[in-house]
Amino acid sequence: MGKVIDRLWDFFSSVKLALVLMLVLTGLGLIGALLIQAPPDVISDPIAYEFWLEDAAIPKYGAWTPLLSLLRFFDMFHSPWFLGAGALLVISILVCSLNRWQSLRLTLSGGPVKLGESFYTSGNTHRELATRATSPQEAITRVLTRHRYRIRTEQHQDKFYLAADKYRSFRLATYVSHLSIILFIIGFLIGSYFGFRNMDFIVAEGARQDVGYDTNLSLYLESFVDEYYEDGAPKDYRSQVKLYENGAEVKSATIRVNHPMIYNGVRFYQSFFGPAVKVQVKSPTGEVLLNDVVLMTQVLQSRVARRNAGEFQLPQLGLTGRFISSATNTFDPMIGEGELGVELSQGGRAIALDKMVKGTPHKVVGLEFTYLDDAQYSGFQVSRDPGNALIWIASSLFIIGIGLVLYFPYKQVWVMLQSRSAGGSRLLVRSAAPRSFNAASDFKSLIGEIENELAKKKA
Amino acid sequence: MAGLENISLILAMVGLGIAVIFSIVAIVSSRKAKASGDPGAVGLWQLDKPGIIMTAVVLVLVTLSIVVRAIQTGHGPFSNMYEFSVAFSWGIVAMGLYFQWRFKAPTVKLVGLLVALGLLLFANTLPSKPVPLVPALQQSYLLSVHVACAIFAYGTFTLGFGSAILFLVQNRKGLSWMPTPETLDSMSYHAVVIGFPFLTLTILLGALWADIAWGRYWGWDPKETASLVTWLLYAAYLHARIMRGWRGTKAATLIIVGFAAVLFTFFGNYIFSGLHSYK
Repeated sequence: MGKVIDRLWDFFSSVKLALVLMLVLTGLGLIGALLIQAPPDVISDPIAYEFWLEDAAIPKYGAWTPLLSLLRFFDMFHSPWFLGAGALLVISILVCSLNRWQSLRLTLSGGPVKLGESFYTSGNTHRELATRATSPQEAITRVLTRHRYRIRTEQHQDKFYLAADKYRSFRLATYVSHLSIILFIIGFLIGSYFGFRNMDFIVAEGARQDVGYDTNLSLYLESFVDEYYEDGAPKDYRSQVKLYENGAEVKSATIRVNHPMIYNGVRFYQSFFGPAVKVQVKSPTGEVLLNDVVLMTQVLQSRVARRNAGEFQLPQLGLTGRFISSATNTFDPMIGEGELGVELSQGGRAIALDKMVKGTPHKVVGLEFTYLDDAQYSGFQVSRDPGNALIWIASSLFIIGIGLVLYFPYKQVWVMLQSRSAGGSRLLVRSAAPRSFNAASDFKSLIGEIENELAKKKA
Repeated sequence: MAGLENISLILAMVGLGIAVIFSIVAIVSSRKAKASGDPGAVGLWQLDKPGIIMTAVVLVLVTLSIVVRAIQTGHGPFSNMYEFSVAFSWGIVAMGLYFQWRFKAPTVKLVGLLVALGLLLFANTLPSKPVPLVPALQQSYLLSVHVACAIFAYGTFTLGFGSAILFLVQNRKGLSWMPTPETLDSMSYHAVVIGFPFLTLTILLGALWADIAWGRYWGWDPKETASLVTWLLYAAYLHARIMRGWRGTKAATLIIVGFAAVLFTFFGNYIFSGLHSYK
């Protein structure tokens, strides 16, 4: 058992694995960006998915469609491949982080000062100098102190050893950036398990709608306005609303794109809008069966015209039906401006198809229909995401961590000084700074400064 | 005002062309001087002075064109591909001058100038008439910072790409008039060290804006995904170089693939649909 754990630990602690996983995610992400992705509500409904494949995927990908679908490539970002590679990468980040703690602790304490002679003459940046200066130790210490290095020294017989380092505490920044990735995921999970998201919360003008999800909130839409530029491009959508909590008004606001309304963590975003009609239906005895704003949420596209339709029910009579209006700006030979079509069905069979004029009561199968007025409905996205704050904390830590790691690279300098029998001393200097982008030129100028300082002493 | 914007952009294109020619002349003549072995020959750095001055002039002209347009439209360059392309080339020219100052490598700057010229020529084919902003884009401050970060990141990555391409050439040929492979390698690393935090900021600010405008910080929109792919490639490069000591050909190849991802993200809206499907 212990052996298995050791093996797994070794497997996940390799940076090679992390690299492979990053490249795998890159490849999968590329496929996901290039192939059309099925919307979430289609994915959750097998029948809708079949239709989607036929309508959207087969015209584009032809015979490849079944294979791509089998591989879950049309829902790439929820596919086992993508989630699996992502999960493995997170485990790899955690294991690598824990694994590096040992070596980081050594860094923080500084590591050994005295090293074997061959150490000082290996690596990319090392140099051997000879000097006749009287106290070369002091000269070197002065230069390194000027650059704010931490300096530790040891004397062993005729040899003087020096180890210096800089920015060591910034090495912990690697934890800040990597662990904030874990925070992102925690924030996301909190949001998905303890929050809610309703993508199409629709309220008609003059109507009040319950938000649901145990919020005890309801939203009343006073008015909706859509404005356009001269070329027809949308300029502004805004909803004037009142928010009620347990029946009492708690907030009044204008919601528009980029300006959501927030109340107790519940956020309302302006999302879409559409037409609605105010209608009244009376029975032959004069009893009001329906007096409501009907949302025209359906779009009917025929060869001749584009129409909006909205369903209604008359449960008292076991009837269902829909109102049909012409979509704005299209000429419609059947339903003109100021007219509203009505379709009545009983038990799924159409029993009447008729149309009426705004403001004039009209009899259909004995019922009196009145098309009172036009209205609009406004569509909101309503969500509560308790993980949101965590996401922005993680974002801040992430960028701070990356900045610190890259701009305060850990730097080390080692020196060995040996007095020579012929007089003077032999000086070995080595530096290391794997994260620095100018390690070589840094070392060159450091050596220059040391040489200057040694020469000064001699004079 | 629109006239001034167009004139400065056309002058910038001409200036870029001249800067390219100056750089080539400087590189060729320094090569000849080196080949003749004349010890008194002046260095490439001195020969390239006209090219550098011309590049600085181009930077002023492109800046002028962007500023004039911003005053006219009342927002930063973030509403269509024309504005992005001009801004992207601004980023390349600006970072090209920085790299020139830092590393004195006219050959790398030349690659950057060619990409910038290509972008301006591309912008010239696009409709440049300012279009009114749709509601989601009416968030000027956040969007300007988001795009500014993208410009710095992309501009720097272009110089990194130039260094990596020349590294692959130099690694085989060892030409005396080009920077050493080591210099080119550290130049491309330097580019990622500058560009990567900016790319990260671009993505985070984009997520913040999406959260405000659309109520979700991440939605796997193709442009979002493409930027994440780019980010992952540069993150892989940093880990490969720092942790595994990747240098040379492997590192340069990863930089070139990363830049291909930058171009894919930039031009992606012509390929895929989604919320970023502006033209």
